[in-house]
Amino acid sequence: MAKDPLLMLAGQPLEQLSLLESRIEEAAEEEIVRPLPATQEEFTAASFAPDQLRTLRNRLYRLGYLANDSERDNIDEELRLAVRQFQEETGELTLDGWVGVQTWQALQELFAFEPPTELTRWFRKGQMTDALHRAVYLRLLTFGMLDPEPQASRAAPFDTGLAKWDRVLDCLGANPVSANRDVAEFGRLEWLFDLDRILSFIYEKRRVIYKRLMERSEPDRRLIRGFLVCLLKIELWLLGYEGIEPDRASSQPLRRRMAGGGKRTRYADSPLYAAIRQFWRDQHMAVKYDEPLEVLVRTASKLGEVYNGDPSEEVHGEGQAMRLIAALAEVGDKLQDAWKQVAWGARVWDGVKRVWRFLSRLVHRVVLSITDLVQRKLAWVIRAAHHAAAHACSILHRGFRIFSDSVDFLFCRELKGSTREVAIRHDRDFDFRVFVSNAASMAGVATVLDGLRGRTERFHVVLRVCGTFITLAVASAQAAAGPWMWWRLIRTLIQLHEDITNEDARLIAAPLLA
Amino acid sequence: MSVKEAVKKFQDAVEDFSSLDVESYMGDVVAEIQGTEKGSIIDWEKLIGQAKAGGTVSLKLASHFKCDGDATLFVANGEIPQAVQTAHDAAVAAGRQIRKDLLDLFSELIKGSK
Repeated sequence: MAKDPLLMLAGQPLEQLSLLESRIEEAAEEEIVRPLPATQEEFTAASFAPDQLRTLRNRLYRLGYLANDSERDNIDEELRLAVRQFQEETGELTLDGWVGVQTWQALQELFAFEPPTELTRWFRKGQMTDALHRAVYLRLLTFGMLDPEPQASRAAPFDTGLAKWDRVLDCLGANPVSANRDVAEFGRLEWLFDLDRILSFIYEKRRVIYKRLMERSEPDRRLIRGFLVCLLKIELWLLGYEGIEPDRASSQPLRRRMAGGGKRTRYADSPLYAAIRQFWRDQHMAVKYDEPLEVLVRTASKLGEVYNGDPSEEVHGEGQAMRLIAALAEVGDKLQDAWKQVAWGARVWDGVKRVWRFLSRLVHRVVLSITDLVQRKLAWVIRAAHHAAAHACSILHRGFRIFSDSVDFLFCRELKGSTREVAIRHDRDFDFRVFVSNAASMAGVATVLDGLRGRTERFHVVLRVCGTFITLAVASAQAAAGPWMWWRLIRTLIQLHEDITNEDARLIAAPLLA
Repeated sequence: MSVKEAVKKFQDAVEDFSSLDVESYMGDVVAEIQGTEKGSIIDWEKLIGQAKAGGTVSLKLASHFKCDGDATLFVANGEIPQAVQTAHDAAVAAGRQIRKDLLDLFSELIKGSK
């Protein structure tokens, strides 16, 4: 087999980086990966898979920024205005009306069930930003705390929903009691945005929660039943169980008595109950139909247990990326078709972290080999891989843009942002000449220097990420051939995804300085 | 500009990373930059000429760092204004960081490829 050109460029990292950039561009053209736009000019429909564009429209609609959930696959003025309004309401994004890594990440935090949502980021002077307000409204709606409305309208009875949410927390015994009103307010929102925490809590308190609920009034039990129905629909939908989705309908019965006579009573399972039964089967266990509230509590508790198992069970030295790669390699020749069949819809962008934890537990605890796992849950594995590769690819794509911009900056003799108070110039070897005016103020100096520091810091992160990417790509090229042509790139991107920290991603996604 | 174009530009331009020089000047910078060409607020040649000639702009601080870690520092007589010191220190930090990052990229990857 011919040697990979990447290996023939050993010792020439910048040439290797150029080659890898070309490969990512080719992979994007073949729709193997989908990097988010890196610049405003790239924000066109062609930069998105139609499913991803629909996901973007749907999210903006659910948050109330678009009037209709149209399935249009173009980028029109209405969409740009909606994006701009969202950016404005976050209080921290640049108002440019296009979606790159930064705006997409903000939408992920506020809309998706994918952790982490750093709530403090979305407060200004102790008050929720308008964007967070909408996200809270949507969460309340999704958990059945508000009457179903299609959109996160500001005129909605927000306080009523929050009061119901407080009652849910109180019924579960999770109420964040604090003498400080602000702390209590923040605490209840933390529960609202942290599904892992809710499920862990139910698991830890499973012995007392059901008993506690049975002592509550019937309206309270109905409220909790509705909440658990919504919660399990979200969780099981995120895990990829068929037939359900977070539809905010909280009154769905688990089983319904069938019409007709006969000696034996027959029931029809609701889609939720069918999913619950399948979930238990996947644990190699069966759920006994009993009092609906008990079934719901037991299932939520089991999910909490599966997600939060003993960390000592983790296989030492084997990261998630390597296990995901091993699982993909098992797919063999079918990987290419399977990869292309996964749509870039909502589920690629949501709940992937919990899906992967869930899969890991299945492999580890239920004596399910990776081969079995792949055969049974192929779509889940591919979905997790798609997400990881897409995230790493978007960060890299943006990183390439910053690299180029930084080189421009480095070779532009005058530091962009120089003023009449402070002017900085460097030559081709980055030797600096600094001129400070007699009239310079410390504030004026600080502004120019902040720009210099910001660029230097970002260049540092980009070079580190690019360096890691090259190292991983070389290692991948040296490894044995994979199941299909793009295997090495996919493998590299999945490994890189694990290496990129949230801080790296945020810094790279930040707007380029003028 | 793609990475490929940036790399080309980079290779054509870089001359020497082995040492770092930072010079900081203070003076009537505003007077020196009046009447400059349209599109650029600073006439660098004029400024540097003035600095060299000991005109309205004078050298306050100079630092020379060699790759082996040796440093030579120049401090002008009299008190160094805080703004000059701060800007000088920031330029030194940026220059050293950029060199280190680029050298790390080259040395680590070349080391790893052997």
